[in-house]
Amino acid sequence: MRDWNSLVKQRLGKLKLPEAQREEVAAELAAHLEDLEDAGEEYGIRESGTTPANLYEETDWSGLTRRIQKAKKEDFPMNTRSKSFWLPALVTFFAVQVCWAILVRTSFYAGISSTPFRPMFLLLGTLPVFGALGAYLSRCGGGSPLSRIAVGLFPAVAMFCLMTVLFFLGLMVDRQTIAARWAHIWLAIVIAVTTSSAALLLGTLPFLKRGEVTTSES
Amino acid sequence: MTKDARSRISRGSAEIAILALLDRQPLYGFEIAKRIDVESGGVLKFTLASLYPMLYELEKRAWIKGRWEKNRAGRDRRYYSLTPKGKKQLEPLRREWRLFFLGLDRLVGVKDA
Repeated sequence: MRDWNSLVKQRLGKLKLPEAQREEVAAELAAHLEDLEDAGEEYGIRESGTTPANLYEETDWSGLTRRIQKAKKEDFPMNTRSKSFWLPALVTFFAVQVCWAILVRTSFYAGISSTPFRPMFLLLGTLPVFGALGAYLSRCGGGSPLSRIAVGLFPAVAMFCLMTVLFFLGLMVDRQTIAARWAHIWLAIVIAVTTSSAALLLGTLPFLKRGEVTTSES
Repeated sequence: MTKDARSRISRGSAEIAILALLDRQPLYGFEIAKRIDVESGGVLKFTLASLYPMLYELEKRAWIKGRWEKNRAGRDRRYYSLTPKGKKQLEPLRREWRLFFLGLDRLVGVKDA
């Protein structure tokens, strides 16, 4: 009988697994070839036309090595909610922040900072793209239409939370000034959040119907 | 049928075949391949390249569990058995496949073919 164990080990040379696990895989595959050799006429040759030598030669070992490695590798522990909501939501949020920073900076260097609302209007114009990005990423992660909308709107919701926190912090720092203008401040917050939400929602619309939900959690 | 759909069907059928076999008794790799070949009348065949990645994948999902034991010939073999989690998966899978074949039969009459 051939030394299948060492032959298999040679073929699995590129298998990147801990030593003990690699030994175990090699021993198991070698055992399969041994059994096939033992079965001989009864099974291997008569029924499938396969001999262990044929099987050994014809097996795509690099493909097998790749598949074993993939199967043995632990998955990144991300659940469906992370894939369909949190990750796309955070990516969208940071993308909006980066865009906002770029717009403010370019407006400043272009000498148009005298119109302070200009970057805001420009940002408003780009928000549908980010709404679309969020919904698309959520769909790729298996998100339902509702979570696609939630991800699309996430930058506006996060902005609302941030502004609310800043408002209360402002109250603590300069109570008189903020308290005197609270109605104006809240009106500005509501307008900013509502218009941003509408722009983001517009971007999510094309991604609400198309594409199936593919939950891959096992 | 797309290559992807075909591969998903073939992968799905391999999964349920392995789980159903192991539901009866623990078996090692070669026995699994042999039983599937014989019991499916040669329709389903596993080779080294298709069987072991699938077994490791099912083991990673904790649907099956492998442990080394001596076989009747006194050789060490890795026997796989179904875990409680795997048992839970089997019934819904059987239902899905039943529905799949019923639908396909209604559509193309595979039973009469």
